[in-house]
Amino acid sequence: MILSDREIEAALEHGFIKIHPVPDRALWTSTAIDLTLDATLLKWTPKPAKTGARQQIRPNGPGEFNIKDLMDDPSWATKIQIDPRNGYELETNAFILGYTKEIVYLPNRSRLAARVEGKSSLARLGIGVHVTAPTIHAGFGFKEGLPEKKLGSPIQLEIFNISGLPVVLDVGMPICQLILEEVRELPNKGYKGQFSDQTVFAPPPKPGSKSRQRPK
Amino acid sequence: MTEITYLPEVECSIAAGFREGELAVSVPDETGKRQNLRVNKNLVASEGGKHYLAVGIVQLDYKHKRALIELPHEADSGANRLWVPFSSFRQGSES
Repeated sequence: MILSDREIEAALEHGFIKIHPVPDRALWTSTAIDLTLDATLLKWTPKPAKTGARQQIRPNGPGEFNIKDLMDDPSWATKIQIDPRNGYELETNAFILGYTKEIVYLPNRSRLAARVEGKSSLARLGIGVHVTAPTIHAGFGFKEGLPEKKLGSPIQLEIFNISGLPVVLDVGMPICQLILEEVRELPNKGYKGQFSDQTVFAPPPKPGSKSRQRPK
Repeated sequence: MTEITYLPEVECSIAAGFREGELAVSVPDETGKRQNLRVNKNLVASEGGKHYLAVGIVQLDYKHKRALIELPHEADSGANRLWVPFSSFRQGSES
């Protein structure tokens, strides 16, 4: 069952969910809350391997694969700050990773999960905000050892443009909507996936540290 | 004191939509910024040369004589809700 705006308000008030900062009232709808775009974006920018070999990503290959390592590795990804005055022009067929300004925490005990969905106004311009992975699982934002008041993570967005038009993204623009849903029974475990703590990027790896590049 | 009854409809300007049965409407918020969207014709009422879009009323702010309204669906800018002054509403006829 999808929560209405009144139920979301009550859930926030009673600590069943945490969204910080709580979006302005004008960003609520009857069954969702719009979340806004953070200034930090990440663009995949693989550089040719020194050997000249083509680099590939092989998520299910031998050895350990962790996309966070790639995101933190400047030889694979470039961090971009959106210009507060001019925004960031997302070219057609471009793909970037972004974050919500708001942090979200869905305590396991609350039996609430969520979905992050695009906005129809942006969809008409060919802008999508997720690539088939919209579910925010119960327990999202939990981190072992942190006190309750410090829990919560921004939601990572996979933003793309398929319109054929250059579209400018601005910091703080409504970028997606969060739809909250009841989970029928208490989950056995809180969400502890690799993205349960989606804090903005870690520092680049030190020289000589293990990389996840897979030259062919 | 005169009692005024407001209907859940706010003043808008209209233009032709993309298809038959549709209107492009433009609704100003309390600052004058306009929100544009396309709606079915049956969501717009006309009276005395003015046009009014049916909306949902979310919150009333009597102190500042304004209301938070919800549009029938998302505007082109991404806005769903906006503050409008009470004076934007269509007034009901006296009973």
